[in-house]
Amino acid sequence: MQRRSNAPKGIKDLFYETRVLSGREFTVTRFAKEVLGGAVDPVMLGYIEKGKRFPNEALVRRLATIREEPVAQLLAVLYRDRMLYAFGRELRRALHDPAAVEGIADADLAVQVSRAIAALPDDGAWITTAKWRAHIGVAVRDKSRDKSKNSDVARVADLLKERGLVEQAKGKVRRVSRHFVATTLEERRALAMEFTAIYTKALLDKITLPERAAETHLRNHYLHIEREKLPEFYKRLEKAARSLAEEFAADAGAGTEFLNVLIVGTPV
Amino acid sequence: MNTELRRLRTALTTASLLAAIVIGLAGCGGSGSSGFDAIASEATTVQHVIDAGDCTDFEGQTFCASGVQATGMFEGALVKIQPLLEPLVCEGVPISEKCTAPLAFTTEGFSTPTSLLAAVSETEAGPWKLAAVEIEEHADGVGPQTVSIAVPGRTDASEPTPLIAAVLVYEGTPPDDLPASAAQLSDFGVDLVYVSPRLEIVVPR
Repeated sequence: MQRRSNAPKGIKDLFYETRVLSGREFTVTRFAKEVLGGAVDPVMLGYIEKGKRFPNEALVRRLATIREEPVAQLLAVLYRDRMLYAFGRELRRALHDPAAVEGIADADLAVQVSRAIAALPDDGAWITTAKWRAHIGVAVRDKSRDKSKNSDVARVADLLKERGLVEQAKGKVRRVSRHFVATTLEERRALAMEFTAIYTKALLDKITLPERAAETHLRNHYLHIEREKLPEFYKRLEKAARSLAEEFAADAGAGTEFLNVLIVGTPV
Repeated sequence: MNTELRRLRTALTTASLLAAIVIGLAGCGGSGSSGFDAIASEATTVQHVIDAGDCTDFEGQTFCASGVQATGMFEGALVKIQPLLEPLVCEGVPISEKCTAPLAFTTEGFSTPTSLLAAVSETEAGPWKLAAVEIEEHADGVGPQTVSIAVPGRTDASEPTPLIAAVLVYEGTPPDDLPASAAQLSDFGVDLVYVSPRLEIVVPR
């Protein structure tokens, strides 16, 4: 089965969607027994779908067979999630944030924000709020189907409005700015996790998935530069990246990918 | 089990197609960025000038806070926007949708003939709309002069509306083909911009 980019999906999502989207209304117990052949305890499968436990590699291989997908691709998702988990654990220490929830779902907010911003036309044209929220809803994959103001969709919409990134009037919405700055501790943690997820996926695609290598660009440019010219260098790098993004941005559709271009420049 | 797997495969394929269709229907082209610090932009420059009360250059234009002496080509000159402790009151005809509020400012120290226009916005990020100005002309075209901006408002506004006023200073005359509104102040081709503090405009009930 050919799939679209799995960048925002974790191994938990793959287990969940395989069970739920089968259309057979499998319970966790039935899916564990009938589809996975009793290779995993139903309770453990529930934990895996919630991201509280990682599946072992044998179980991921079995899932890949069921989905008719290359085993290496699903294993790469598992490896990325494990790396993210380890990174998240250390990040909480670095941010002095022991109260943060453990798990790789920490990046969700940042992913949702980026999808929501990209769902609005670059030229500031108005679109209906309903259409925009539907697009965010697809990106958020809000399993609770919560339509209230406390839902993930409403939270993202309110956050962008509060930051002055979008403007709403008479059932329509448009962008007034394009750059989201992570300010609160939660946002900084989410963004750090998202950046790490993007980099980790790119790295694993390049070094473990030859068939995917072509769709990822990963390169290190290095130079000696006069220290006082660093701000100018970064400013022009940003300008060039933004110009390219706006030139190539297309309507989301079956023939598009949600491309993330993560730029790092740092003296070592 | 084979039948089961075939059904599962079919359902997954159908679900993927449906998801792709939903994404396709809901989509519209756009891009964005995120980071831990703000990118320098006109909006952040205006924000900085209001908060810091200084003059800052951004992409060849100078943005100053009210009452601060300009730098660059207008060095030593200044524009002072009338300080307000209360919200501006929008005065209008009851049957009209629009009303205006006067906001005065004075200019000092401009050694060369200049032209003044004004633009208003609800936020630092724009969009900006040109507002009518009434100038008490000085005989020789230099020296202090008082200008009044007719700040537009809506008579149906039920709550105070945020407002930022910008005084646009041109050396000589402004371009002929200025737009009535623009996403950024730089779109007005201005040489020097003075921005007011964050204000509010209210409609009396």
